[in-house]
Amino acid sequence: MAENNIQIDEKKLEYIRIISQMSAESASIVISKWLKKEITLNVLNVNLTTIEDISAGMKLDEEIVFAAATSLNGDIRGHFLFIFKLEDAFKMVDMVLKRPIGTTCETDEVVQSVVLETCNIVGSSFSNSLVNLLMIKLLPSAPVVCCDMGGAVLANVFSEYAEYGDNLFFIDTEYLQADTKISGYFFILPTPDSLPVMLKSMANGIDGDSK
Amino acid sequence: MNEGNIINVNMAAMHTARAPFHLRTILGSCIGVFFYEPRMKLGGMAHILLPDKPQDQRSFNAAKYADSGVPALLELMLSEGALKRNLICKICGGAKMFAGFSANTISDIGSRNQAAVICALDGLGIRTHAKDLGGSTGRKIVADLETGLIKITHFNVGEKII
Repeated sequence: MAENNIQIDEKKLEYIRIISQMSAESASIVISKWLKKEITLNVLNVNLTTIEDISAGMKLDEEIVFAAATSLNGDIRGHFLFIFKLEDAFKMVDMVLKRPIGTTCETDEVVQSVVLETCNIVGSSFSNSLVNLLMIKLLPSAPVVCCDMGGAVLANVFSEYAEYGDNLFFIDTEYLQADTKISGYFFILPTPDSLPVMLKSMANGIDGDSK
Repeated sequence: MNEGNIINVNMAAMHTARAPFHLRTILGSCIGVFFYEPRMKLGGMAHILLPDKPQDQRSFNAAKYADSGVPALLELMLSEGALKRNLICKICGGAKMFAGFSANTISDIGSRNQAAVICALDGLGIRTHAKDLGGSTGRKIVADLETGLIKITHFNVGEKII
């Protein structure tokens, strides 16, 4: 296989999963306030996989999605990427505006705004938590949004990361709420040169010598 | 169109097939390169993700890069009996979907892909018969191997055939 591909062992992947879950818990509190319902953000998987496998494995394809992305700068560089299917984006709008679920059924600037704001709020909360846990500097940018075919959006984003090598590292999550399920993808995409920084800080944090 | 006759070309993959099959792919900043040999009703499609193949890797997936994927697709078509002089070439894709994204990462890879594919085709002496490039929306493309026509669907824009 290629020499510049990312390699992470199982133990380190588990570290990343724990830290991500802790950050997801603090993001859950913030997203619950924002959507005015109790919502849990769960970390499903920490993945290290090839671009080809993601393309085959994700079933978004030509389904229309809302995608919002925030770029990260500082000690860790990369992106936060949020993807919601149309129906889930509509549900979020209804929750924020305190309307009965099902009221929103068209894509407009309000939907776009809610998706952007969700990305902003969850992304900031998640990065604040990483900053506190890992003692690192992390600056998220203002998010950008697009609404298009899921497969096209993913290909667009992943192609940027494909330039670094064949493997892609990402963390995916889901949102759960008692009576209305909102699911979405939340990818954390660090650049390969940021991964060692992330792993080193995580190892320090978990060994307990940081505090 | 019978769904069972559609062959999906994933990201960074390439395929060849004959009528009555259709070749289908979804494109963002990627380029779909389609070669068609009308005599045999044979078509080949590559989903090109990036412009240039890596310099420092011994093994890589040729279909992923413009400079290796275009020659590899031609090679595949010729190995199945296509004649180069009969080939009809069509290219689609290369959109810039995330306008306003921070330039250091999600740059305009769509334009770089377009340039690299056109350069690779020129290098092989292959003329492009039709193209649908650029823009800011994704594309679904389905190539009918009976006719060699590609139906392109843009989200929110509509359909066209090239």
